[in-house]
Amino acid sequence: MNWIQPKFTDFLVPPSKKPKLENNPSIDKKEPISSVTEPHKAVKCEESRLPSKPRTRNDLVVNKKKIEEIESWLNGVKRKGRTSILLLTGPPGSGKLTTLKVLCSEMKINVIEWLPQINSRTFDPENVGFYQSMASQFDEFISRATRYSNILNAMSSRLIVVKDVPNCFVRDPSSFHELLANYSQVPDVHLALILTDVPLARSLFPEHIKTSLPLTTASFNPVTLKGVKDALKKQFPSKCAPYIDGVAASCNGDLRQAIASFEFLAKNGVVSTAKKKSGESKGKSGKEDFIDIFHGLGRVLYSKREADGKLVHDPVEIGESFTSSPELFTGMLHENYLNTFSCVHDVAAASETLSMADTLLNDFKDSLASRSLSLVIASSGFMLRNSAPIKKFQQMNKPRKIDNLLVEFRSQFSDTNVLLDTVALGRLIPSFARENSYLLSQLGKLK
Amino acid sequence: MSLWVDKHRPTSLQKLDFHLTQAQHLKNLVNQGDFPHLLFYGPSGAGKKTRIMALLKELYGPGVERLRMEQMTFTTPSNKKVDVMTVASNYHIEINPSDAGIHDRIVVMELIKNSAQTHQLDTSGQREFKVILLTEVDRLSKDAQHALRRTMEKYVATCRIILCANSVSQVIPAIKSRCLSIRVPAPSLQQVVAVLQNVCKKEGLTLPAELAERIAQKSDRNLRRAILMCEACKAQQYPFTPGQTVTEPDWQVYLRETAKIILSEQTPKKLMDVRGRLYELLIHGIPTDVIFKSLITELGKSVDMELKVRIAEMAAKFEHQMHNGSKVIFHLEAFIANFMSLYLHYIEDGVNAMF
Repeated sequence: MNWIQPKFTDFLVPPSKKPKLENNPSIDKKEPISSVTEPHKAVKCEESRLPSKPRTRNDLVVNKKKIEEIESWLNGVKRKGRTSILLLTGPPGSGKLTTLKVLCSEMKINVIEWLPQINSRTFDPENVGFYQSMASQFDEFISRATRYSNILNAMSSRLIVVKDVPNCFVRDPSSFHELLANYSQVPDVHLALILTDVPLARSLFPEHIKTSLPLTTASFNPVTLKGVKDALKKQFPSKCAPYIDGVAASCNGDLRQAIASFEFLAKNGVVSTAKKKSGESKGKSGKEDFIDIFHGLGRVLYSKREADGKLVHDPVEIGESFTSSPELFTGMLHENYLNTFSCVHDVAAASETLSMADTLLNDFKDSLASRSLSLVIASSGFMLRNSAPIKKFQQMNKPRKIDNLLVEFRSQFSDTNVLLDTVALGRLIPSFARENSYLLSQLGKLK
Repeated sequence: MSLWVDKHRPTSLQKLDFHLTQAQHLKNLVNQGDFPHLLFYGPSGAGKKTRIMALLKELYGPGVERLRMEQMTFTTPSNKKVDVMTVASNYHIEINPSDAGIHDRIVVMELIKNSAQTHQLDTSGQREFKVILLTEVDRLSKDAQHALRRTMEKYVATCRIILCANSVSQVIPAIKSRCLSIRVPAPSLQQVVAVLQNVCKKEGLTLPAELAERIAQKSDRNLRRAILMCEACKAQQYPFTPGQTVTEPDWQVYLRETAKIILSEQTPKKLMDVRGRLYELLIHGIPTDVIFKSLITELGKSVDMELKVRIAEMAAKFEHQMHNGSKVIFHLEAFIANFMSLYLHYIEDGVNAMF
């Protein structure tokens, strides 16, 4: 019944706006869930405010290798009779969608994009039958997009791009897996999923799903500083040249943000030096810059100092960025710190702070303040005490887990001391060793 | 065939080999028919458990020797099932709550509630209370100890609790004050030798006095260990010779070697090796207090008195922090690192003083 509803608003868009299909099929967007009553509204590409988008792959600031990777996947799309899913991950503004679109336009692949519209259908108590869940809308979109082709370019291959996975799947990944598994059976379905959130990507695509589906993954890195600068120069060739450095540094590899702030600068006209400064002092104007755990460990363990003895990185800042997983951070620090210390007196002082940090961490486990306090104590202890760090690359190890071998056998003896004595010496007594060979073989000997 | 330790364990208060006055006191205590909660403490291998069992036998008769093992299951508020092994007779139940790890509070509370809520039907023929024996009380979490103190008071009419611990320093004062504390000191060397001779006589063996002496010394006045060592010696070589080797527990040897490594070189690299050894010890379940204690003893042997005091102070500090913290390895390592630093200063000072 409801598959008769006109879904693809392309047909209703006034012809003057229609792009020439050879030039730019990527604008050939379909609005998946347009409401029947107002079909003319919408279809507005979010990037349209940008002065100029990259048209060819040479305009892209993404790593060449990455582009080739995606190109080879798209080659697979062009071949008939196969099904594939591409998972693109990376921070916002690193050019995931842009790369995909540019390559598709070069290779003449139709891009159909899922644009979720929250208010397209509100729940109407009088007309319950009309209500459709997000999940089924998504399902329907995919089935339509794969089955029915646009009349104008019916023969070309199609690629469905999903930028925001509907929230219902975030809550219930298993239904999402089911859906993907269903579509991986159908030939000629090509899905590209774009996710910015790494933990989300992990929960939606656990290892067993990755292996069971025809899934290819590609993760994008933030755009390099040079890349941002080049792109900005190309976009705004004449004006604002002196501010490029500041804006590029403050955007943390988010090209979209960089361009937006540049536009803002240009429109305001008042380009103050303050803006430039704050850009240089990093992270103040933009979002909080996130340090991943290895960066944090590196900064703590190989603490850098300026000429006047001041620390380059602020231990408080580092400590406070790991409050969500304090135990992992202290564990990693402990496992790796010995390799970077050259003097045992420093080790003594540093290990003492670590011991203190652990005590604090356990004392008021639930309070955020004590967590960050203990992390700050640990990180500043290591940074300040290490008078002569060994600056050499070393592999970082994970904290070891201690599995107590005795636990399994504890209950056979009345207490731990009895167990220890009996096991250590009973080994030598033949009658005991015979009766308890399993226990002794499990426990092994200390060497 | 069971081990000599179990075979020749005294079963009644009359048969005990040492601390005879204390045995008499215990007997008098029980003869009155009732007693308060008891807290037995003393070093490992001194005979705490033996005395407790003898006491129970005195109280209830030979029925307490018919033991059965039972697995009890407790459910935590988060719906996790915790299995704990118990040893019980008709009159008492023995449990080691520290088996339940962090859930020990629930075990203590539930167990006492379950067994104390029922009254004895016929009080004429038997005692009107049951005995709950909790071992390794010093390894209980603070939470569990506080729970215990409350339950102890509540069910005093139907049950008596006997606690058994190595040291009272880890037992909260509130519990100590609710119990009659009975310290069982380690036997003296002569007493250990006498017991060894006695055991060998019962086994029909002759034990040379020198060997008995050496075993007693190696055992650190731990009678259980001494008897086990003696049996191990017998397995290795019989008839005994006075000069034959006495094998020590492997972890003791391992700890001694670790101390030697620490003393040999004080660098971060050596500390890394020591860390590996500490992990090995922890994996084999050697309790941290044992590690601390043997390390101090071994390290203390090669420094002067002033330093000894400082080492002991340091060890006390880190052990305390260890109990408050969660990762034992941090604190063990911090102790060793601080010792290394201190020892290096000590040696350097010694060298400087010579010139």
